[in-house]
Amino acid sequence: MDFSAPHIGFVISSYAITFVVLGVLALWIFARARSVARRLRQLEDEGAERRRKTGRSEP
Amino acid sequence: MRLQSAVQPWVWAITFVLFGVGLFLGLTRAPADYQQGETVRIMYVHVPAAWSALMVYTVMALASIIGIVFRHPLADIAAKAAAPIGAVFCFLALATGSLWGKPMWGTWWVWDARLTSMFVLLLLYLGYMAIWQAIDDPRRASRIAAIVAIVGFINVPIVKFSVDWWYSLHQPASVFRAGGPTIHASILTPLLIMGLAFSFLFLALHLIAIRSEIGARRIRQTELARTGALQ
Repeated sequence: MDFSAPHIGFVISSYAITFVVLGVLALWIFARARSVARRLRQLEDEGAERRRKTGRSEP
Repeated sequence: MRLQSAVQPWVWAITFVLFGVGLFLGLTRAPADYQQGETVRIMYVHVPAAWSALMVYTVMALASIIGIVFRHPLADIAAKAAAPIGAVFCFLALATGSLWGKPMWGTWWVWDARLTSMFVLLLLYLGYMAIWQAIDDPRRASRIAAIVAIVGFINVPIVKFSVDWWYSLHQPASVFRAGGPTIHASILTPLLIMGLAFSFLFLALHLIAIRSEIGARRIRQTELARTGALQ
């Protein structure tokens, strides 16, 4: 690629926008997955604790 | 879930390899266009983003049909999880198309058939996501969102054939057309590899998003059950 070519700024901007936006999308999806997994673990722990307190065994 | 965990690393590995090869060929090996010069390289992100936006909407519409007809529990989860990814692809197609249009056509935007139908596709994605946000009852939301996705699918062939049906500044189809591609292999190869890279990126992100959506529904059900038990 010739970096001295006319309009090269448009090419660089296109790739920059693409990879920044895709990166943000991927981070958002990973962050949501992590927060859902954390909340599920928390709920499972709370459920196990409640069953232990009430003396019920695991189903 | 177990299958997804096993497949996931391979999908990511293939995605990175495809992006690496596609970018290498597109940015260093493919020649500049005799008319457009280096600006033609925008095509290697613009066209795959546009293809992917159409493909993801098609996936959403098919999943919505399966959800409505067969009531498969995974169908509306798959459609819902795909929407933000498709919206991003659609936004990128419009943004990079604009960055291509300014030096080539002398304008960032024209309300011609291809650009307008692509903008309508973005609005359909946003509308679909807004329905899920606006309606609390997931069953009602899934039904209304599915109808929007299915009805909105009419826009997909309009996007594809808009350059043939109406006069457009946008160039006509040069890859998926009767008679075969009109692009030289040195440009077509990186373009197809980048198209595959975007498709695998969609698959990789979609698998995670589906898993999150299943988890979010389990959380909602557990919390609702607890609230019910407390009352």
